[in-house]
Amino acid sequence: MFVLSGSLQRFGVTSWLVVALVGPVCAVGWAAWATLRHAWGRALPGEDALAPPDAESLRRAAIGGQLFAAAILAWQGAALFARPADERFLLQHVARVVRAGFFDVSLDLALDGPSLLMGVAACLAGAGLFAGLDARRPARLALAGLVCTGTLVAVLSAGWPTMVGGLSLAGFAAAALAGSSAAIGTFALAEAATVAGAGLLFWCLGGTLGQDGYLPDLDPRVVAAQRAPSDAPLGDDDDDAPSVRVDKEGKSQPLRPVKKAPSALDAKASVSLAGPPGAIVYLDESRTPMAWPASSSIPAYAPFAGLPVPPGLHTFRVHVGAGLDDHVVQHVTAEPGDEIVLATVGSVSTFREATDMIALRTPQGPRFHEALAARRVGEWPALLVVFVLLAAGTALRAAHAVSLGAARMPWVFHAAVGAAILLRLAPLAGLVASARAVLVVSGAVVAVAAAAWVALAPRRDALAGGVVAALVGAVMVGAGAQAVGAGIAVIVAAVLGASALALSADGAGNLGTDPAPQALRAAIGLCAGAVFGLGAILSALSDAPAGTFGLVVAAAAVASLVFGLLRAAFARRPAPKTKQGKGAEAGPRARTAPLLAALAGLGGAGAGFSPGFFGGDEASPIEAVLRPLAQAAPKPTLTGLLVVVSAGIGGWALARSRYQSGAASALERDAAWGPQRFLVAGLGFGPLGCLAGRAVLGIARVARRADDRVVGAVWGAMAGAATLAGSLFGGAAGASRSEQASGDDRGRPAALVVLAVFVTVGVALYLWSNA
Amino acid sequence: MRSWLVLAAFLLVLLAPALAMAGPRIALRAGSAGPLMLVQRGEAWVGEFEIASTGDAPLAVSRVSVRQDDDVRVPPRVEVAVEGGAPLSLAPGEARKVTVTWTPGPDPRARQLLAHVVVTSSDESAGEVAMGVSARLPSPLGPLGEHPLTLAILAPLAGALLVSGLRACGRARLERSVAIGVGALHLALVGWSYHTIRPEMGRLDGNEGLQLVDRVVWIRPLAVEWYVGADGRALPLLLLVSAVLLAAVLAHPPPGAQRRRDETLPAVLASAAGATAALVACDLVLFVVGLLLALAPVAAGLASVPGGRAAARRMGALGAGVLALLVGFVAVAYRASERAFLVDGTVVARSFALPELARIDWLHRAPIAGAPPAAVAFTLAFLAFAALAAALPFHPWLVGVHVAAPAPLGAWTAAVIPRLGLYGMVRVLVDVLPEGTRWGSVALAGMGVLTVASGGLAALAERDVHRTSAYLTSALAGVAMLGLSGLTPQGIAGATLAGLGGGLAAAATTLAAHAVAEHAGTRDLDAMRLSVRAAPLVASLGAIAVVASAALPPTAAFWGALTSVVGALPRHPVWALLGAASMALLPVSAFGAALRATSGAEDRGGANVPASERAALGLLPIALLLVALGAWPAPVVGTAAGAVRDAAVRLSPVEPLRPGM
Repeated sequence: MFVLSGSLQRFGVTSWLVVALVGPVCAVGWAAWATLRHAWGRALPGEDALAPPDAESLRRAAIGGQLFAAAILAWQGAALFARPADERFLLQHVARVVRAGFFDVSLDLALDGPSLLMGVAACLAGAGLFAGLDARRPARLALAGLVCTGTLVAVLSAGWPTMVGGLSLAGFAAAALAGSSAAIGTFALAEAATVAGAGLLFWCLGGTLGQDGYLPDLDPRVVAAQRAPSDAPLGDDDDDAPSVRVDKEGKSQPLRPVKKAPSALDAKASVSLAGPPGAIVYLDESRTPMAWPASSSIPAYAPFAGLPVPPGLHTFRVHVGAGLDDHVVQHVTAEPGDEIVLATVGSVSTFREATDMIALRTPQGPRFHEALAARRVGEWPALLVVFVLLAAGTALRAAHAVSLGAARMPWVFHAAVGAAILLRLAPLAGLVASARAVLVVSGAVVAVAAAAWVALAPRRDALAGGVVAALVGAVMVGAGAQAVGAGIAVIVAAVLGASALALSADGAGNLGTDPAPQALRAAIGLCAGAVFGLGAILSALSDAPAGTFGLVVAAAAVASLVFGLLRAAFARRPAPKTKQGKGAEAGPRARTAPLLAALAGLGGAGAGFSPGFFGGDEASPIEAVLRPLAQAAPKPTLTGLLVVVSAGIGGWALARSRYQSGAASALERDAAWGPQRFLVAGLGFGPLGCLAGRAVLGIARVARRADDRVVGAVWGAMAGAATLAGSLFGGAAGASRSEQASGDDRGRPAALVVLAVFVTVGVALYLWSNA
Repeated sequence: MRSWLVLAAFLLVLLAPALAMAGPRIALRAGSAGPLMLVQRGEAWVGEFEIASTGDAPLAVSRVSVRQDDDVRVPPRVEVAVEGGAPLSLAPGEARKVTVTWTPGPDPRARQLLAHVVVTSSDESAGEVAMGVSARLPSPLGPLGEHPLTLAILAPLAGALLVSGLRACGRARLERSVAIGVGALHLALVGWSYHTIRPEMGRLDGNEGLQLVDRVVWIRPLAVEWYVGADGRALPLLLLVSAVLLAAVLAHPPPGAQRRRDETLPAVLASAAGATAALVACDLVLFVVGLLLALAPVAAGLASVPGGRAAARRMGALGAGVLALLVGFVAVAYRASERAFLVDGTVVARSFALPELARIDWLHRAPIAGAPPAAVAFTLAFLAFAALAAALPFHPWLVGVHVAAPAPLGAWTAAVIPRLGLYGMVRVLVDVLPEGTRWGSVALAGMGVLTVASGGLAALAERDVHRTSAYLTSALAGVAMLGLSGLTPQGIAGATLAGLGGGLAAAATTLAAHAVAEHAGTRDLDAMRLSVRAAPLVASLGAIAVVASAALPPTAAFWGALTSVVGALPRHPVWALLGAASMALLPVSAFGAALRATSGAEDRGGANVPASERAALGLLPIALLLVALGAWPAPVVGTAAGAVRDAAVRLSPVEPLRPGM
């Protein structure tokens, strides 16, 4: 009879994820070898750089490595989607790095929806950045390759130690590439805080840090659990199977076990073991380990899934390796068709095991999550301390991204990927309200600070880093709001957008003298990707129990962020000095425009948050307006839509104000800034962005923990993003065109028409997605 | 009166043997002097000895058994059979055979047997007597493969004597070749030890969890034994000794470029012998002798180089201080130890064997000057080991060595001597003084964190490249101390790994500092203006040294730091957090130094390049090892699994509740 049950993550085993690392690693190796070869004088004498053919080969290899990794991930992604919806998790144990007691650091790779998204984005961003890198300096190629490789390891890592290792590799390589001591210092502090927080979590999962020191739990290390079906509703034919399941927020939900149709395979039960990696299992009194295939004599090393066992009463002995006792799981009754999971509980370092732990329950109720929530470090809840440290690490990583920005072409996307650790552990943060609040508030502070820095800093040379930092803050808010899917979306947007911005930088770090195509693409990608995720985060936050204060702070943060991004997108070059010696931005409308934008953002957020924000059960104002059009739409979706539309209006106003205050004159002197390009880009973006968003959401829909509500919100926000972009660029185009025509701002009607078109398209897309 | 007294004394001496024969007397007789060596018969290993009644009264033998006490001492499947069975009675002059059988079975964990067969009889004057028993499964390499640890001690010692002899004979040109050969042999012996050792073996598998044991009586009147053996904690540091020894001799200048009175090579070789002895010693006296043998040649070598006398005096003072503290510790431990047997079965009132000292019940020993003896012993030993480890505030000796010593000697000293201090903590403190270690773990954590922080800060502010590397090196020692303070398997393994990684990083940093200083012609970082193009090998390998000294991936030092912080968290969370924050200083300092050294680069590839490239040549094996172990440290760290578990169980009274934690 099973004592424990729960909706544990099903997984499949693959051998191909590590292949994705081969390309980047080989490219790094070749670049490093070229560096040495060059340095040792076998290159052209007297030359400071490689000969062009060599350089081009190196660049192609680096790009090829990234594309190869992306292709492998895409292929594995296809395999992932070929699996049943609740089994979309691939696992590979590559090698054990260090094992000390229960602390098992292995190169274990995992692929699920979020890691697939982030991995592909990182590979593509890396390939793009390699295309813009000066390949005649192979040392820079090697360092950049280390950034990409480390980021990919971090994305695919199944546990936090490997993730920290990969991030360290990427972060310090990026800092070395930038030659920035500040970046090194901030990143070192970030890693220290992350290690401390994750390490504390490791111990808190398996014991209590009390006044008398650490007291480990007396639970067995490995338990047998019966996997409960994920979302089956409760029916009348319930029998003795578990009738309640615990969701990620610790709430009990009724469920009904899935009864499969009897088949030949059901004559046997099956057993799965994900970890400790490399462990083998002995069944009953057998002296030989269980094998896979079952008819062979090859031991099945963990992770393995679905090993057949005959029905009956069994004892499993899990042999981990030297220095550890075998774990014995006794009295396990396997009925035909049963799916037995040998789950590791206690101090674990993989994300999946940690989140599986809180899903386990006994017939009397949840087994671990209440105990975890009650644990303390001194006077403080342990999970609060853990997430304070992790949030500090993430915030410092954001600072690291900012300090990297002074480089000629900053490689900053690893900083965005680093925020994923909060999303991976978000279900644990959900156990303690104060931990959620810390994430929301600290994320909001980071977002506001970074957005303000982006908007107000006199130099544009750290734009990519600043934008990444601001988005990292948004991801922190998302983790606090439990909006995992949206957080992943923001990370992906940050990776792609920041890389595009970096590509647009000229030698001095400014966005270049002929930047329109690149910078425009960057701004589009950045704003769209970021905003659709931000809308979803706010939507999720409106329902999250983070308190009014959290909502206010988060709303302010998101509005500031949107404003900062918009302003950054239109501030690529200093405006010419006026005769009075004032900058072009000094006009009164220029000063009021940011305020308008911020107010618009806040107003949109406030309108969407009405029930929780203003109190009462009444529908939010915007719901009241749009209810006839969106009966089936949930309020958070509307919220996301409203935020981005409002921010779009603010952005439009901002664009107009910059044009009128003189920026347009500067643009006119540069043909690359011609209004046609704005218009073309703006018109083209809407449908393209929506199609891309549709594709992205197709993947995000299966992202773990991204339930339908969040996915719907993301999609709604995506539609809003199209609206935003249309409003921005349409407004700019119309204004500019009107100036060309008559020198005044009679272009406003045209801009409004464009804006209206995009708003309509956006709303239509939103309604379509929620139909 | 006086003549009567003389007569009485004479008679007493004359009659003493006869008096001794009075009553039942027991004697154990093997074919030769003990221990009894078992020989292979089929699948079993068998040996025989006799219990003889040598008195003038019947001898009652009540018990003949393998010595186990209340814990495991011997491997499984050891049986003792007495001719005629026990208990038995022996008439005067009668003897009975005792057959000892060990059936190790296929693929046993313990590949040798070290045991005592104890006999309890009616001979009250002798008390419980024992016969030492020994057996060893054959090695494919014969005696060479059976005694690698002893050979690893003797080989560098012989090498040092040979090098000195060559110099005396005017064959100085062969010195470096001989030293390289000795280094390679040492590495081969350590490699063989790695190949042979079973990582899963622990105390419960017998032989005190030790493998490759060589044990003979060394100084019988003092009950000192040549007792060497290895467990997983020692092997990584043995690898460090081998690697750094080879690197040091590779970095040593060829005969033509040497100074006249350069005693570096014999000093390093002799010190390697001492360090190896200290790492494999299972006898406290041998351990202390090994430490002194490791220190003294370094001081002598320093005294032989220009400007090195001050550093040599510091090393001398260090050695004297460490010796004084350790003698005090040995005295306290000796006072607290109990009756034991030497390897051949000789009964001694007290023993210096570390496994015997590990059985001292410190909580029930009489206080020393009102203080608990465990606390006194811990304080003495901890201060000695902290001084060796160059922890704050004992680090000045290391700075002096960095500044004064030539590259090979500096690298050797920076890499190995502090690691001996750390090993003393991991081995002696943990095994012999678990109560004291628990009591003083806060001091360990605090000193470790302060060492890291002060090292990082000092390196940040320093302009001298040698002093910078010295501070970074000392900071790495603090990482291991922090890990050990956790008293968890993670912390102990982290300390072991940090010892290895930190040692390799220290050697790399020192060699790199010498290389760049020689290349630039200055020790001032701000004035170096190094050009990568001018010395590409130095730059490439120096970059690895910088990354390693910052404890970053992909080097071995990173995993040691990570595991140490995690391991220290449950017992000292605040110190662990501070330690993690302090470690963030290391990358800033290391990268900062590199950036300063390369800023305003000038291409000045001149006469100093060969010297710097030679120093970098020594760095090559270290750098490769750093990266290889950084990518995959499991093969090295995995050997420590059983030993780490034993140490954690010893340290944590809670541990048995969670086996394998």
